[in-house]
Amino acid sequence: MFATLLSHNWKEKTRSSIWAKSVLANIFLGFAALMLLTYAVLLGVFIAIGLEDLIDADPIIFINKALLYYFFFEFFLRFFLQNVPVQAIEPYLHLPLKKGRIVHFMLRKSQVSVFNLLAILIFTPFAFIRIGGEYGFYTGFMWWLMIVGAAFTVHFKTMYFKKKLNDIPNLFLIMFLVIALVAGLDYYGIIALSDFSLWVFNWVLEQPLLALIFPLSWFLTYRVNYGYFVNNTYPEELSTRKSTSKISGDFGFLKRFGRTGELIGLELKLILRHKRPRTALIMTGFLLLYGLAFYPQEAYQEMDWIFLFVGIFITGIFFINYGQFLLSWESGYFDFVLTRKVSYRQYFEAKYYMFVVAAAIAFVCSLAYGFFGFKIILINLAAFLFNIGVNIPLVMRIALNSPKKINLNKGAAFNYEGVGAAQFLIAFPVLLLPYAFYLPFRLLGNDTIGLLLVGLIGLLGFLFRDKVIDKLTETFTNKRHKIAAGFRTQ
Amino acid sequence: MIEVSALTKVYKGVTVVNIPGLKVAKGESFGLVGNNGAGKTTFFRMILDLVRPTTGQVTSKEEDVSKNEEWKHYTGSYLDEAFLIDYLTPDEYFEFLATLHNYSSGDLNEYLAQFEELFNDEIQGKKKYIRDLSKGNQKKVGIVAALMGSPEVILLDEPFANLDPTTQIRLKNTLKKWKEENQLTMLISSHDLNHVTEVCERIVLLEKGEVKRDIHTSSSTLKDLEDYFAAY
Repeated sequence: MFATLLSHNWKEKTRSSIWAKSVLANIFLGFAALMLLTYAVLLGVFIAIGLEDLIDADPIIFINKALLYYFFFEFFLRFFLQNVPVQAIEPYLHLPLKKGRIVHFMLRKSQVSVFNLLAILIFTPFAFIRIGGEYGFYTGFMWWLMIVGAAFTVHFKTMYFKKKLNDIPNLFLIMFLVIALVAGLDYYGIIALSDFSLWVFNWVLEQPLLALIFPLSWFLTYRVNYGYFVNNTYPEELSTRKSTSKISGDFGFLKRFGRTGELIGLELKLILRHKRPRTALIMTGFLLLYGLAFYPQEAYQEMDWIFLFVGIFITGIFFINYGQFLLSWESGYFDFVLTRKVSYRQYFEAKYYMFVVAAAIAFVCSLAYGFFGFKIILINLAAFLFNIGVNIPLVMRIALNSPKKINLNKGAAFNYEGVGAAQFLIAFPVLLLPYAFYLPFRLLGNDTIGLLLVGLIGLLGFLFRDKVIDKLTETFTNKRHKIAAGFRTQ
Repeated sequence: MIEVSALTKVYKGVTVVNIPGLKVAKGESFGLVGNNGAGKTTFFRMILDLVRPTTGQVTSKEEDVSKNEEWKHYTGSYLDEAFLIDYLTPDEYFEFLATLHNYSSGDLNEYLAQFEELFNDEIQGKKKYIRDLSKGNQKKVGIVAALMGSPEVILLDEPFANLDPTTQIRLKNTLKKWKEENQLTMLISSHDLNHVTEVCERIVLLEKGEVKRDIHTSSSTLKDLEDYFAAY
């Protein structure tokens, strides 16, 4: 039975359309995962043998002090990135299978997760080389057992917590406040979390048998989860999607701008009502601060050619982020897009102006960087003009190359739906193209003319926007059947 | 009104639609029947320019539908959920469409008022997104949206499926009434032989993409069709 369920699971993964359709994204993901694990191993080896070169304190005391922080960090990481694998069991609930077995399967399978490997990879070398070396193999092994037990306890705690969060809406806020409070108290030295951590984990070194508490708590949290899921396996309770009673956003003011405004209003609703596009929007807000990483740094004053890149990024991040999936966002109702009473030309016009307005807002916000010198405003202006004149149409054009379907109701973290070759291509022209005009003059020592040229070319593109939108519409008109078929079948 | 000539669609060597010629006159109610995989939906999609025909063309008012977008202004359609913007509430969706049809909010209210019975108080004024509605209610939203803007042609795929009996009867009456009052050209596909023979004056039977019967509905049509499908 267990094996059959496992094989279904495997099939679900390998046959899912994203897996099959975008090999490139998967290679990239696999590569990223490998990198992460390699870093974890390297970090593990480093703290096992090289830690005393970096700090004055005794490495064992240092690590034991830090462990509690580490597990807090892991908890947060898991909280945002780890999925509760409940949906997968829904199709089995009506079959003549014992509920307990399905839940056991789900919980056991969930333990096969990169997050569980993380702590083990980081601390295994330390346990055997350092602690084993100082306290003997037995103690080292027990300390290791403690780490494993703690990692899996955190695993099941997060899972339980995430489920509970649906029942208690403010739990996250409460938890956040508690942690902020503890961190604050710790920071001002009123209580010392690190001492508490040391106290807990040092015990194990003195009394190795006490380490068994952690595998025990692993087992206990497992049982708690089991009890909860067995009693709550109703599809509507399993669903991680909360039913919304609040309808957000009206954007009535956009109606004044005619058809274009109407379409932009619709798109804004799309963005605000779904996690993934909303994340793209929030990212835009954060990246406005990107300049702070560059402008005040001494090192970058020497190589201020990089500021153009910063400007392109700051004023353009929204269309880079959101526009690369141009049509994919609307893949769920694409047939409607094609048949409704809106011409393709109007459709593209609305999208173009939405990106222009977003870039303009970002540019206006970036004016604050004038604090670091007037030059920065000029650079950002050139970047902004280049973005609206050249880069926006470019991104829109690239996004028309066999776009992939996106299911809007899925979350944002680790969601690579919609990613295809086009998405990997986008960064190059967007970031490199302005330099093609800027760099030659810069190298000749005439920085200002370079910037002027970049701005001018952008302005030209913007002045000819009607032609550009016509061209985009034409491309779309030629590709529409293929795109629609792609969205329909996946 | 709608004319099809030498229309074929081939997917990976399999011909799913092959219709040498077919005309739907203005004001005609045209019913399409056939088993699963007969090519009904693909045929409808080609009429709506959602699928590119392998050969041949579809013209609406003598204009090729794939060459210009004029037909969109007088054609209403609802094939499946891909025609609904599911993150809007029904009210927002209707409002959005109303602006596309240049309705004022008064026009919209007047238009929606005639469907009050059909909506059964489950659709309007509810703080619920379309994606959270039941299949039946989604269909009601789609059909009412398709009828908006006094279209001259309307295409509906399986309009009766997923609806409760009361709604099926109400919808049938609504369609009949609309057709008579507005000279509406109606294209409906359905598995429900009963309803389709009642609503449509003409029935075309598709099998493996080819037209097997093309009949003017009479009292014996239902029996004929049932016999045909029973023997299939």
